[in-house]
Amino acid sequence: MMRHSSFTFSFNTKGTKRLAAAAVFLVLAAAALWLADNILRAKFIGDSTTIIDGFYAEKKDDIDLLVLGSSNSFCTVNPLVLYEHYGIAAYDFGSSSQPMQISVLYLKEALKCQKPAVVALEITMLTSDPISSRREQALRWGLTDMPLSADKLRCIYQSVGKLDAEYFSYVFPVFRYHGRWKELSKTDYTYFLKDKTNYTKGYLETQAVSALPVNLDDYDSEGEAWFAQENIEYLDEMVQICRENGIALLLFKSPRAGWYRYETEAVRALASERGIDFIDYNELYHQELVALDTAQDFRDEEHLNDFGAQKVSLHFGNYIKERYALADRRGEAQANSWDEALAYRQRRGWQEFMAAQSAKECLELLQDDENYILIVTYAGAGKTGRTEQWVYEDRAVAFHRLWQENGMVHRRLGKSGELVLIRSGKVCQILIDGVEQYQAGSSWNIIVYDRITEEITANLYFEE
Amino acid sequence: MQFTSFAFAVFFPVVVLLFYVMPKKFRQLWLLLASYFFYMGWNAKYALLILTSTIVTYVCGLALERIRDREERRQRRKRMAALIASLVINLGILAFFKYFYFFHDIAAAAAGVFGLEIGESPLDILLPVGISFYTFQAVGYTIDVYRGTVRAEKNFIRYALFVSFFPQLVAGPIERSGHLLGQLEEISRKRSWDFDKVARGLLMMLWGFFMKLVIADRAAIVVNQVFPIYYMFDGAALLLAAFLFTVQIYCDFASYSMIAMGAAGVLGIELTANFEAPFFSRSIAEVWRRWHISLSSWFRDYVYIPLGGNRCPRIRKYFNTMITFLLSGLWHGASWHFVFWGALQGAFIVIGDALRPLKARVQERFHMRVHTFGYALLQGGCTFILFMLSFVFFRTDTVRDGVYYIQRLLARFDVWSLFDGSVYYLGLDRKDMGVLVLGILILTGVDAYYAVKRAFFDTLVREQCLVVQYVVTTVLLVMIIVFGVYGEGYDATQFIYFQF
Repeated sequence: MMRHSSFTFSFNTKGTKRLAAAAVFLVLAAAALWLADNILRAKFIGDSTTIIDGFYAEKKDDIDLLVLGSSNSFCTVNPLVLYEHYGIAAYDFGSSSQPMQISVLYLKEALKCQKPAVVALEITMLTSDPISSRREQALRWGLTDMPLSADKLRCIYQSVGKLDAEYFSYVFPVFRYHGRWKELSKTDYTYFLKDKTNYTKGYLETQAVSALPVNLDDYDSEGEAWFAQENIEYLDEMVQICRENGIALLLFKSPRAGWYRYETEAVRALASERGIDFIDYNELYHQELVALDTAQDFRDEEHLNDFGAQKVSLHFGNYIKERYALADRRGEAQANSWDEALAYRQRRGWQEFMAAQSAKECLELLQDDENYILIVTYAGAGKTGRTEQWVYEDRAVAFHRLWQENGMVHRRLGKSGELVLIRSGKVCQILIDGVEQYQAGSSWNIIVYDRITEEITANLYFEE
Repeated sequence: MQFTSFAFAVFFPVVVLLFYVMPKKFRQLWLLLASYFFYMGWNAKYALLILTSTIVTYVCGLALERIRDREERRQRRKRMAALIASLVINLGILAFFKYFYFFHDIAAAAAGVFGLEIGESPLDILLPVGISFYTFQAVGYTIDVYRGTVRAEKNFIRYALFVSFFPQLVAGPIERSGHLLGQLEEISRKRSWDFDKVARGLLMMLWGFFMKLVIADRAAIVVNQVFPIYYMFDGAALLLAAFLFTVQIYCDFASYSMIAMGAAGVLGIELTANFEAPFFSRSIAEVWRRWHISLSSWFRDYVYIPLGGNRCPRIRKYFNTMITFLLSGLWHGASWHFVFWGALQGAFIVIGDALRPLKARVQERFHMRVHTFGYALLQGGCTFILFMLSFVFFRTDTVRDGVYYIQRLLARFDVWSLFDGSVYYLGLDRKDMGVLVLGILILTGVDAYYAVKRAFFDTLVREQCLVVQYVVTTVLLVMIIVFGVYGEGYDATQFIYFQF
């Protein structure tokens, strides 16, 4: 007769209660660790953190062109340019120095919630060596914020090569970043609560210009291209995935110093062997088909800035439009998220009300926009002059105070902002999220707070 | 593998899970295999040394038992021979691996007196982890069987597990055969899942990890900064480093014992308590009844009492005390500064005992109220200071360094440097120092609880209501993960006691 196992736990009342108690504890502990992890983990703002979070904030099956790769991808292709000029709904789903195995992961993860018609891979990292592909920084950038999945676990193993403490620290980043407790900032506490919409669609905006003109003249130097076998295998995996899903895969190379014609030809050979397209903006630059200004269009030797990205994106959009049957998404019945992103960009740029000559004119230009909150202050001349304040919200006066004695008013501003109006000994203070915004001296002050961007758009002073 | 390693985080749950699901009759074998696997994580070859110790003491134990059954004078000689054989082989292995260089240096120095020269040792001996612990445990067993206080263990697997039981294998507590062997026998018969024991075990482990990762390894940063170049710091920094080294070594060692007790508790086995809030002691003698109890009691039972213990003339008693503590010092390390440290402990106790009549007279003459909190605090403070200063010799490389350290501490003491912010340049900035102070305060609270209730952290938590239990446990868990000194950029300090 078989003996029973010695595991004698029974589901009597006491046992069930204990099981329930243990479960409650585990949930509590897991929640505490989740919170600690979210606060402590490094936040790569403008890079993978906001790119990944923004990607998952997108509507399902809404992206037509998915751009993968290292920082060269999201510093080169500006999806808003592609949308504005060609109606292409694109998203830059990359991370800095993104090794090929992580690009494969990004593709797999993307296909779980999107059905792009075209995937464009920036191929800088195709030419990287295995040591660069395992550089910790590149792995952390690429993996930290990617949601946990079987594919991610596999990718971590491909990147780390063993199941050890290091592997575990990629699965639970808190074990790598716990030492950050000393350097936490407000962003660390609030980021995970904020709206994750990425209004640049993954693109990294910058108008910084390289201190020295970037040298693209060595393009014709001689040499021999070399690809790590594992990178070729990852490329083949991407080709396979795209074929299985009916997606056109396109390889592209951003313009940069230190890229040579022999590399262009080697990548072209790889691409043509696999029946996929390849476009190289270094080659196009030398063919004078893209008029890049090496003194103005680069952030540094390897990355374009907004000016360069605008030029390349215009060409890239046209190339894609001609080659692939992508729908023009402009003018859809309902505004899509690219329309919203354009509007968002518009709101952050120069606007007519900023040129107003008087408070009255400014208010007239702003009064119809329900997404602006206006904090208006009138300070009369002289020591005995009256101080009066208004807060306009939803196109109406939400608050009005004629200050006659010292006091303080505390209001919520937009979704998560905080506004404090203080009158102390005839001195007026306006604090927004703890930062002083008001300077005395002019009769009128109008602070324009944008609910959409959750930023102060303008802080204007008028004499009349 | 270390308790704070990733390997242990995987190893322990697997061992526990399989332990509880497998048939009872395989459990001893399973724990034995697990224990050897655990030990071989350091150096696979040295597992042979444990096996040798195990076989020798096992066979000697059986021989002693067999001979005892035929009690004759001639047999007594044989029993003595069996005991001596076990002691010589086991202590010989220990002496070779641990004290070879020490004896080599003594021989070289002695030869130098006569103008002879002994060259560098051609041997390259690496100290096997935990050899002092398991050797003492195995030797203790042989002596117990010789004395007839325990029966020889006939089941080899059980005995091998007794010598190598992984929670306490490399840093104690040094278990007595009478306490542990019986429990190991029970796990293959009747021990099964006990929720309360498992929960308590896990709580003890958690507290152990807190002491190790949050306090000991953080204190170690200052200690490792100051001690190697102590001659560059002033008295205040030296005092702080000496204090933090005392905290470090206590937390380091007590945490290991706590994790060992907890891990064994999860498996349903109760280990001997090794530290009972020693800094709440009012004399050095009391410290040694509460500090590393399993070692102190080992020396008491197998060295001090056989030498005559207390039941002999006062001078002889003092001699016994000094011999015991000199050996204890030597056990802690093969170096003169450890021997000196041991001698200091013995001297404190001897002087304390010798001055007791004088102290009683002074108390009587000045009508001192000795049963007051203030007096207890004074005694506790003095005891701690003496203990702390003695540990300077434990940490410095030589006795001479220790003497100079204390001279410098006293002669160059600038109180102001404790308050002018310079302490934040000793390796821990203001925030880290804040966490360390918080950790020490929590530790003091938990130890104070022990001093009052004679119960550990697990009882302290378990006697609270469920909500408080959950909150305390979760907060501690998060504190360990967040404030723990571990991971890249910093090599978690090895448990100090492994080298002993």
